[in-house]
Amino acid sequence: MNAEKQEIFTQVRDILVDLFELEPADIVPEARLSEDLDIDSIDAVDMLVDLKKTINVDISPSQFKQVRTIQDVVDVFAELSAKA
Amino acid sequence: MSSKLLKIRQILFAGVSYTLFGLGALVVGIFFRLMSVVTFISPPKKQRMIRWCIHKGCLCFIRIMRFFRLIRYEFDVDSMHSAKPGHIVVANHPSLIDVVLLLAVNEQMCCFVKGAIWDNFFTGAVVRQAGFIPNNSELILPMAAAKLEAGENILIFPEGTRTKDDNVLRFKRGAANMAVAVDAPIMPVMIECFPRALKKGDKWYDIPEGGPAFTLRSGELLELDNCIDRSLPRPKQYRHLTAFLENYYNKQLSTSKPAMPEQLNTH
Repeated sequence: MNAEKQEIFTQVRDILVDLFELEPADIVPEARLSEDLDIDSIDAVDMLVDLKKTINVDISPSQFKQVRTIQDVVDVFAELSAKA
Repeated sequence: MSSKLLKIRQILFAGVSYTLFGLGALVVGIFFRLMSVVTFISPPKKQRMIRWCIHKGCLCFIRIMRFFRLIRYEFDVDSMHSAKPGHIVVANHPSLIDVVLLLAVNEQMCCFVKGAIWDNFFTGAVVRQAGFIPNNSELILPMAAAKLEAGENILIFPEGTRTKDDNVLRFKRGAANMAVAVDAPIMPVMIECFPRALKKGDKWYDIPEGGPAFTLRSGELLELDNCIDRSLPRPKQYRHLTAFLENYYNKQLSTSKPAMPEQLNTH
């Protein structure tokens, strides 16, 4: 993970801890959102809203459909912020 | 009568009851399949008619079951009938016939239905015209919101499936998601079934002698403001409300003693 992705990862982790009352230690890149972290599709929408506030990129829910793990979340945001 | 004869009689009666239920559903299904092409009756009118038919059908079914001594039941649901409309009816789910019992005490209630029922040629016509909500739709929340705002009451079983043998309630977050998103109050209904019967995996004819005793008891209407902190981010509200409800049910179900069969009238 490069520095930029590391930074996005930290932001994602902070938001997840804050929104979903998760333990920071549980939020690792390979953690799966639904199976490991109990984040469902409705949570994902709320998470997206919060992430967009912090990481200033334009992302649609459909782009978020394929996301399964924390690593996927970081990758999607890293890619979009690189384009921005 | 020997216990073997009693068992045979019970299986026979159960078979008759469920067959009547199936036939009733078929008649209603065919009737409203034909009704779906009738244009001079407005959709809201049709919805009221179908829900009324479903309600009466369920009432009829549980009376037949009781007549055959396959079940006993007692209702204490005045608080539900007098609650202001536009609420979510939340119930625990011990048995196969919970939804039938709830429909038997509510004349106009909205339910969620499985995709398979929604897409079926006959049942689909009925549940669509009844204004029910398919549980596989992406628009499930806006649809539910519109109905609640229009003053309908929607039934949901937060467990998502029947309670396991261990009697531990495990609520999914769907009911809380809906309540928080729509800001709708919750009408809790506690369903008790003693002894446990018609659980997931139980055979429909495997019924305890004398029939299990069902009690339905509704609580006071729960306003969200009194249950959780509404200023928190929504994902936290979903979780807190789910925990609140789980706790509420565990308390309600553990404090009330299960009704003994002889306390329930059998007429």
